[in-house]
Amino acid sequence: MNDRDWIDYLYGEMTEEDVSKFEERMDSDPVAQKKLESFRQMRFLMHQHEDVKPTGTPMIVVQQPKSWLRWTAIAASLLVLLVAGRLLDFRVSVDDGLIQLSYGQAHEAKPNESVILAQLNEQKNEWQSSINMLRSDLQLAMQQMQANSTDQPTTKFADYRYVESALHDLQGQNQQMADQLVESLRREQNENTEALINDLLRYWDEQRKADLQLVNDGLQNLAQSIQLSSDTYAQLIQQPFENY
Amino acid sequence: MNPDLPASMFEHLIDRVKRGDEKAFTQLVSAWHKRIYNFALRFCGQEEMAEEVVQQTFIQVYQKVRQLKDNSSFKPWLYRIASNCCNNEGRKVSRNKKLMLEGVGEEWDDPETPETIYRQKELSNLVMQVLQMIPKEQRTVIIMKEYEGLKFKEIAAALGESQNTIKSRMYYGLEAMRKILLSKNLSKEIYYE
Repeated sequence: MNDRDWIDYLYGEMTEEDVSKFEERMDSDPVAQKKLESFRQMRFLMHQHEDVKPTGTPMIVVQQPKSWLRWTAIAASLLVLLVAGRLLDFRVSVDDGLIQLSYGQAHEAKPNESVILAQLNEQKNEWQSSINMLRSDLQLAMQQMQANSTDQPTTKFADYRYVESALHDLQGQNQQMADQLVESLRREQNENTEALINDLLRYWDEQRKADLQLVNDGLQNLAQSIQLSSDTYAQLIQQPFENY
Repeated sequence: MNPDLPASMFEHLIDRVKRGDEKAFTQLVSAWHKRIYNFALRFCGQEEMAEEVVQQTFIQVYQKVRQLKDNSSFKPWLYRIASNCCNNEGRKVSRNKKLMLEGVGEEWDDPETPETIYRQKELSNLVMQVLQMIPKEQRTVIIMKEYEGLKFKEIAAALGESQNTIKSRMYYGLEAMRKILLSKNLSKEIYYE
């Protein structure tokens, strides 16, 4: 009976045939019987130790990746870039809103004139086509109007001239209003400036008077002090002679 | 697989945990908390260490659950983590810790009286102490088999050993415990590890 036989027998993992053989050998071996009994007693004893109810639910604190690690990684990456850039003479230049990356001396960043001209031409063509479309629409509308009222062409022509003169009048009025507005603004600004200058002059005048008053007071104080000092000195000078 | 849930539902729970579902993870912890706590308590013999093992075990479960390919093998996988955590915690304690075993070898089949209840508790503590005295490889196998109800196949999977090796450890572990319990010198101070 080896160790695995004992375990298989104790834990019921033996086939019936093997169990019979094991028990036959057991019957003829008092030491093995005693051993089996002590194993059973011990297993019984082991199960006297019942499960303990844990106190409370565990607080599982899973640490997130530390933010300083991320920043350290970023800093390390930048350092590597700087060192590599230094070794490879990598340069970054900013010139008039253009960022240029280069190895060695950076070339002067200049806007591509041909590209800008092409973009301007493209924009010009778009506007030109829009104007042409508007013009053709207007001509078409005029033709339709003329076709619809061929009996009163002079009236329509007159209407067109009336609109033109009305527009001219309106532009004149607008110009006049704008001139008036500019004039009134200019006048108001002049008045404000004049008032400001007057205030400033008054302030300076007051300041000058205050300064003069201060100087005058100072001079008077000085004169009094000098007078007091001279009196004191006179007394001090006369006093020794009076004792004699 | 799980004391509270059918296997299919439990495997679905594992899937949810793999997808980062924190609620599912909480359910998983609730389901296995008591088992892992008792496993650790029997292995380490101290409540504080058992609680620490529970913490470390479930943290590792959370971090490594995506590495678990077969959800049906969760149980041995969980006990492997718990066993490793127990070993790590065991290394932290003093190697010269003394265990006092007293009163072993007397009769213990008494009727239910206050005295026998007290005796029962004493025996329970005694079992814990004897468990701590056998080699940890044997202790792990005995706890997994006797208290956690794992099959030998599952224990072998959890510990990465053959079933024959596991059965040998079981036998020698039981034999060691039997000899300790029958020993006449149990009242002496005994050092382990």
